[in-house]
Amino acid sequence: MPKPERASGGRGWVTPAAWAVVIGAAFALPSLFASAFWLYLFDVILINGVMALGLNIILKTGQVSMAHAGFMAIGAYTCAQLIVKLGVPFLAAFALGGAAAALSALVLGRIILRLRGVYFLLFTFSLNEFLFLLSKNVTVLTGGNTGVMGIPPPSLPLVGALRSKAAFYYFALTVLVLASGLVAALYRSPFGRAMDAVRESELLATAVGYNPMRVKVVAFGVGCGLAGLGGGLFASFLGYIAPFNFTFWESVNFLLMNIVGGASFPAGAVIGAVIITPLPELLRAYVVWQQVLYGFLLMLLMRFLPDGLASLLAAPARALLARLRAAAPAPGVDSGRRAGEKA
Amino acid sequence: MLTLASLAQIVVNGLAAGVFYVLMALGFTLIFGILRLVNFAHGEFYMLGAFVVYHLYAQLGMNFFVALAAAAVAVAAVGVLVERVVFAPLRSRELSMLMSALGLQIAIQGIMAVVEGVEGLSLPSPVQGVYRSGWITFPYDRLLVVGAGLVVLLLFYAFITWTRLGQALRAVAQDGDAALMQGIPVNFVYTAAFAIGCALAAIGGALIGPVFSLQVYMGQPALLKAFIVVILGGLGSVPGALVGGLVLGLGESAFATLFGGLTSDMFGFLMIMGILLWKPTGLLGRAEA
Repeated sequence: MPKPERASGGRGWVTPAAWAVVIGAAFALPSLFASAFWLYLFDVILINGVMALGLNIILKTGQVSMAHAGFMAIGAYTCAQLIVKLGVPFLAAFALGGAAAALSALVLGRIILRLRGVYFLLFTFSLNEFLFLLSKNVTVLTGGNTGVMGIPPPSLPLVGALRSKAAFYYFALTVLVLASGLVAALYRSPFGRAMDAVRESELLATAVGYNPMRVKVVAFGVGCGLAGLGGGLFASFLGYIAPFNFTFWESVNFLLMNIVGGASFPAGAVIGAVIITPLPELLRAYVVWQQVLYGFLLMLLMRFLPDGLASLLAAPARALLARLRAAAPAPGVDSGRRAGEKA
Repeated sequence: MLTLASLAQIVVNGLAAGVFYVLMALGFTLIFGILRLVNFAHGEFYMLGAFVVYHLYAQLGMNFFVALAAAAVAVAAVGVLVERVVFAPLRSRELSMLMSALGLQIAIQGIMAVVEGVEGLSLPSPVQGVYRSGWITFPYDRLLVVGAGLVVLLLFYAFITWTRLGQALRAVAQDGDAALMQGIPVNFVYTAAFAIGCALAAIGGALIGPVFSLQVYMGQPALLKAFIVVILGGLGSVPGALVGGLVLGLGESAFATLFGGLTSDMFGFLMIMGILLWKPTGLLGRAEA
C-alpha cells in the first residue's frame, strides 16, 4: 500500500531538485551580496531560521510555547561560558549548549506539558520571564546584567576560526540545512504521525495507542534543543550576550515567524525567518515610531493574513509542482490526482 | 525571625497587593472567559488608567475619585474602539487574537512613550500618613487601595449577579451559541465585556499609581501578575481570580518578609509549578475541552 502522505516529497526528482536549487542558491548568496550589512542580516536570518524551526516542532504537537527565547538563552549561556571560562572547543560547547536546553526542556516538560492550550501558553510566558530574571540575577553563571563578553567566533577542526561574516554564514547555513533535514525526516517518521495525532486529538491519539504525554515531551525536548543550538550560534556570532537578548519579545518573534511563514510545514518556519528578520531593519528609519509601526503591522498581518504567506502561496506552488511532475512523470505516480487530494 | 507583629505586617501588605492583583486578574479573566482572548494588552489599559488619573488629578487638580471614575470611563471607551476595530473581525481565531493583542500592546506602549516620554512620574497619593495600632502599621495609601478595590469588587459582583447585562455576560461565558439562540445580542456583550475588563484594569492602575511610580512600561510586570493569578485560580473563573489574587499577594508578602524581594518575584512562579503538579487546571478552573 502506498503511503499517501509522502506525496509532497518522497518520489520523483522534482521536489529534491527544487530543494537542491534553493540550497545551492543559499550557498551562493554571500558572493552576490558581499556588503557587511547584507551578510549580517543573512547570518541573523539563519540563526532565526534554526530557532523558528525548533518552535515548529513544538507547534506541531499543538502546544504554543512562549518560552523559546528562554531555552535559547540556556543554550547561549552554556555554550558561551564553556568556551570563555573553561576553554572547551567550540563544537563541543555548541553541542552541550543544545543538550543543556534539551535536557531542561525534558525535565520541565514532564511537569508543564500537563497544561494544554492557553494554560501552557501563559505558563511558558511566565517561564520566559522567570529565566530572564534568573539570567539577570544569578551573576555567577550569567554575568548578570553585563552578560558574557569576549565570546570568540566559532572555530571548527581543520577549518579554523570563522572570523568573517561570510564564513559564519556557511557554517550557520550548514547547521540550518542539517536541522531542516532532521526535522523533515522526523515529520515523515512514525513519530511525526504521532505528533499529528496528538495535535488533532489527544483522546483519539491515546485510543490508537500513542502516549500523548511522551510525544509532547520528546517534541518539546527536540524543539528546545534546536533553540539551544540556535543560542550557541547566536552567542558565537555576536561575541556578546546579555539578558535583554532573550526577552519574551524574542519568543513572540519566533512564533510570528512560524505564523507568517505558515506553521503547518517546516519550510514555513524558515520562510517566516526570512520575512520577519529584516523588518526591524526596514523600520529602523523611523526610530521613534518603530515600536508602534511593528505593533500595527502585527495587527494587520493577523487581520489580513492569519494563516501566513504559505496559505497564499500553497495553492499556486502545488499547481506548479503538479504541472512539473506531469511534464516529467515518475513511473506509477498519478501526480495530478495526488496533488488534488492534498488540497 | 517571625513574630506576631511581622506576621500581621505580612497580612497587611499582602492584602494590599492581593486586592490590586484581583482587580488586574478579574478584567483579564472576564475578557478571556467571554471573548476567548488572551489579552496581552491588559497591562497597557492599566497603564492608561494610571496616566489619565495623573493628568486629571495631579496636573489639573481634580478630585481623586472623580478622576478615578473618569479614567475608568475613558479607558473603557478606548476598549470599545479597540474591540470593534481589532478583535471583532478575528472572532474565535484564538491565536490571531492573541498575536493582535501583542501588537496592540507595543503599539499603545510606543504611542504613550512618544506622548508621555519614558521617565518615571510620581502620582501623589490623595491620603497621607500611616495608621498605627499596637503592632500593626498600615500606610493610608495602601488602605485606600484595599478599601476602594473592595468597593469596586462588590460593585462588580452586584453587576454580574443582578443586572441584565451581567446575566447576559454570564450566559455568553457559559455558551455563546446558546446565548445567541436565547436572543442575547452576543456581539454587544463581547464589546461590553472587553470594555468592563479594561475599566477594571484602569481602576487598578489608578489605585496603585500613588503606591508605585508611573511609567509607560509599567504594564508588563502587572500583566505577569495577572497571568500568575489566572493560572492559579483557573482561566475564566471569577472566584478563581479572587482567590488566586489574594493567595499570590499574601504569599509574595510572606516571601518578601522572610527571604527578600527577589525571591518573592520568583515565588509566584514556583507556586504555580507546585500547584500544577497537583491540579493542572488551577485551583478553581474547569478542564479545557
